[in-house]
Amino acid sequence: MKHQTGRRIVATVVAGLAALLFVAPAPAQELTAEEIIERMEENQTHSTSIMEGRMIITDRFGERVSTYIAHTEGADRFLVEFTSRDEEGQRILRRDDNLYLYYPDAREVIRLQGSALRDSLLGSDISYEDMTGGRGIIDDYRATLIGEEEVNGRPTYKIRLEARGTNVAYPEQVYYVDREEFVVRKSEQFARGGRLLKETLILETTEQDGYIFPTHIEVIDVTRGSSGTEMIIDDVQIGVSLPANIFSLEELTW
Amino acid sequence: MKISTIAFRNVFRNGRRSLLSIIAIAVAAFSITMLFSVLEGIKVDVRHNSWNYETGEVRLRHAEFDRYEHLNPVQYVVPDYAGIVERLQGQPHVWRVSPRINVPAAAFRDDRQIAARGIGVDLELERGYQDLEDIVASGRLPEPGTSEAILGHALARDLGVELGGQATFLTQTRLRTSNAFTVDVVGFADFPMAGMNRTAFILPLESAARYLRMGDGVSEIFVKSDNGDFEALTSDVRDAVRESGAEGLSVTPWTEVSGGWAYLQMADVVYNIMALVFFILGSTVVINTTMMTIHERTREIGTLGAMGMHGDELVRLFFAEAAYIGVAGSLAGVLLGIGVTIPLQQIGIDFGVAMEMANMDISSVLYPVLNLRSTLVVFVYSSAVAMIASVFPARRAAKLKPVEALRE
Amino acid sequence: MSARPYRNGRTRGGFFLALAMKNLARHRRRTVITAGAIAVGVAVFIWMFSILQGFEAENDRNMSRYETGDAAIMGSGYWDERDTFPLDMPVEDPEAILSLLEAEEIAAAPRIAFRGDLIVRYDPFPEDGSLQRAFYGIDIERDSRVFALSEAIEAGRFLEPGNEEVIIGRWLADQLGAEVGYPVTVTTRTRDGFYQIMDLEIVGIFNTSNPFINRHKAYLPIAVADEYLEMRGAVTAVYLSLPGMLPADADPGPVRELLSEFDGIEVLGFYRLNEDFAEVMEMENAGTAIILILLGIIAVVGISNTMLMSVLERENEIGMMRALGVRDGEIRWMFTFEAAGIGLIGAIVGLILGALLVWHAVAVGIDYGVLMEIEMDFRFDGVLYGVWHFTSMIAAAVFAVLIAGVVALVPTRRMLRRRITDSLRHS
Repeated sequence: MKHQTGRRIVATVVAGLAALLFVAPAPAQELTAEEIIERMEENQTHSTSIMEGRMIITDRFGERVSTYIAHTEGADRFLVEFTSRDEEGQRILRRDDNLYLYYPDAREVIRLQGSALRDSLLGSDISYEDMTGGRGIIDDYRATLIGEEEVNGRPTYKIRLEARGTNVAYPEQVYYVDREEFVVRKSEQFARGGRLLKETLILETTEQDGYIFPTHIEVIDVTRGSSGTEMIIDDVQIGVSLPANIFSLEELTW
Repeated sequence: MKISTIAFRNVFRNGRRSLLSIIAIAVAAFSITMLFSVLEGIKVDVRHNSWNYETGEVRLRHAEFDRYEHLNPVQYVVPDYAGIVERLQGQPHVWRVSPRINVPAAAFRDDRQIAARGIGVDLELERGYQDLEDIVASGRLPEPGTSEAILGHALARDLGVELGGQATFLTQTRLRTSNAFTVDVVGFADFPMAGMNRTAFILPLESAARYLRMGDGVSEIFVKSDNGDFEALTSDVRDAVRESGAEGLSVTPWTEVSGGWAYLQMADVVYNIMALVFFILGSTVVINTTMMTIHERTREIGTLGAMGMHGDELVRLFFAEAAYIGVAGSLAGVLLGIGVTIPLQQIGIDFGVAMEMANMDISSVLYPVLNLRSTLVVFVYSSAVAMIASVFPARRAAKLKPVEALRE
Repeated sequence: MSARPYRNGRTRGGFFLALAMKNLARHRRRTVITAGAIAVGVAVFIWMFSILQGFEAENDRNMSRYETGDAAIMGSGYWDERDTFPLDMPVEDPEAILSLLEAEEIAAAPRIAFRGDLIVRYDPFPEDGSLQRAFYGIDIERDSRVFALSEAIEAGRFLEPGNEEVIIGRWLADQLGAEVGYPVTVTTRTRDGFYQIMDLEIVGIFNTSNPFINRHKAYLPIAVADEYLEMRGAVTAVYLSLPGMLPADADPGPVRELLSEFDGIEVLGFYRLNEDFAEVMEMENAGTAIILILLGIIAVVGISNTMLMSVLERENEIGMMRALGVRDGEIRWMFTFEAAGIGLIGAIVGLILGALLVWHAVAVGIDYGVLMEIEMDFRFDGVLYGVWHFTSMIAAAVFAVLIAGVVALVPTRRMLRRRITDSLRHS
């Protein structure tokens, strides 16, 4: 099974990674699209973090809120533990490019594979698949700078990403990367025929410890016309030391 | 001498011939009785399956669930089920009640995803609602409140799980979020509906409620009456719901939603066609035998005519003979049918298509059911056919001139 | 039988054979009654067999005509994974397979099965919604040679090749509040795993006699599926319609042989495709068997009883023949021949009568729909069709002749054991 890299920004935000965006010291001028994406990715990669957040899912039957604490290390290891009453103790672990689910009522850890990865996380507009991948956008996509645009009053580079191979879910994406902060302000995911599928908006960011965090993100499934899924990060600690083995399967089950 | 007396003597005078006629009638009556029992058995089976696993005799659900059924809206539950169950049990036509929680589930084996469906049942109430032990192919039923479950045997096979092993299922909670749970497999089930064996498992209601965050709610409540009067039952259930003050619940008799009921309507007509064919063939046998008997006795008729017996006296004589033989044959046949059916109602007819599985013997067993009314119909019908069948050949023979009859 | 010359150069056995035949004509009334019993027994049995097979086959036919065909060609391993609708184990070169099959005049229909989300939106739909369904890209022209879907269109029309359109089932249409002409969106994944979106128009609503189809499946032209899913000509299965009265009779062996050159595919027979229903089938077979056994008992008793009587009646005659010096063996043979002769007449008449009834059952069927009022979420034919089953017809006829002969033998032998005087005194 090839892993889908796809919308990395959403993945990292869900996991609590994307909040750790580095503020670029100097504005870049003559950057290529690849360089912009690489800068953006570099900024997302850091040692460790712990953050608390909420996910608000709205669908035809109403609105639900789930709270969680996320521990991250590097670009592709994270552990999300839900703290809201109805999901309390449920955990999602990502390591070695695999996704593991732990539920307190189950004695076995479920490793998501194959078509199960396409299922939605807690009924939101985010699929488990969106949380995997991470070898680097440039490995999977050809990037082209197609213009500059303002998003929410911020100047951004508009970069089109086209899949190099067939190992990703989205054949085409467009990223709007902040020209000064190198943080994604908006991203769009397209289907094979070029139709818009999903849209991710960074509604708010907060600066802390010299990092800029998206703290309010909204994902909209355009085809469904859904009311969207919102993620709000309430508290962040960066560079904290995490318990040893926190990302191991053994630790997952207790 | 009275004609009936002569007829009675005649029956015994030619014992062999009478015996043959009686056997013919008896076999016809027996076969038809058996047919009815088998068909009744199939019908009872279909009805039980519907009542036990499909819709109940009357089903209580959240009305919105019906409306959005295609979206599987698990959040629409019957709230405060314990209170409703108590009220239901106080109703005159309500005999048994079974609250259920439906658990949509997916299990994983290697990289395969296997779809399954859990049924959370109140094991105490369920034992009254249906003969739950009957589905146990090996092992036992789960204990209330535990993490135990009994799995359809084909599901167990697909999951590669043994007795005493465990299985983990991913599911969706009432809040439409996900959850997973592990069950201890304490038994393998052989459900009467074959399709269920590949998907279904039964777990305690309390555990299902915990896994699915159901609170005091259940997916649906099945209700059975003690006499099959589903209309009275429906209005009783509606009363109970009204008294409980619960809103937005829908009460549906099985006749409106059950595929089983629809099948029965169809089957009823088909079965009647079958019964008709049996009656036709049975009648032919009886008529033929009677005709043969009378044909064979044309000389005797000639003799009786020569002795001065009138035409309609002759007809009456033969009619009376046929009546004795008919009643005797029908009675024998029907009694034999009853005698064979009664033990079969318990043992069933086993077709021995045993499926090989670890210490398990699964086979298709059909349990015939005796229907007294149709048995009575068979008795009356067979006797009547024998009598009527005697009239025409006897009349024909009686019309012959004695000389002609004697010459035959 | 003795080969010694007898009068007019005939063998002695031939003489008794002739006498037996003569007896049939002489006792015409008895012959008619007995042969009549046999004929009715045979005819009714044949007819009932046909009808029961038809009733039993109804499920098989339903599956065959709407879901599985009589057999299917799939990529190796696809069948075990069918629940997840994988696109990565397809039949790569269906055209080559189809042309081979069509050269052999085997009806075949390629299909692309995939899973997708069917999305509907407020106006014209009563409300927004999305639900997962199974979709099938079908080859409009070839599909009808294997499947009956095109006959089940209840509103609108059937698909037309290459149009971006879809047909859905009645149940689903009612649940969604869909009508012909409404637009829907389908999201799915291509063969390579990319997201894909299709905008399709509902051009038809079907209502088959298979409720599962009406609820869970939707169909679109294969060219559209091929293009959007980027199948590059591959399909998930090629379904076959094979010769044979019943789907279960179909033998996929020759197709397997025909396609033995192709790698990476397998040919699945009807039983394999319907293994989930094996228990149901067993049960049905068993029910049918009981009914036929019971019916057989009546027929056999009817035949033997009438035959028995017609022999017993002639004890006198037997006594007379023996007194005239006819050997026991010859009498036995004569009676057996006579009985078999009656049996043969009855069986032939029964066979003809039965064939007529079966012909009616197959061509016209028994319309019992008029007898009932019933609401169901699927189309209900209400007509019970029979099937031709020649083996059973011949078997029933042969069995009837044998029964007649054997049944005559038993009482004749018993009478031959008596003293001649006793036999003559009888009657």
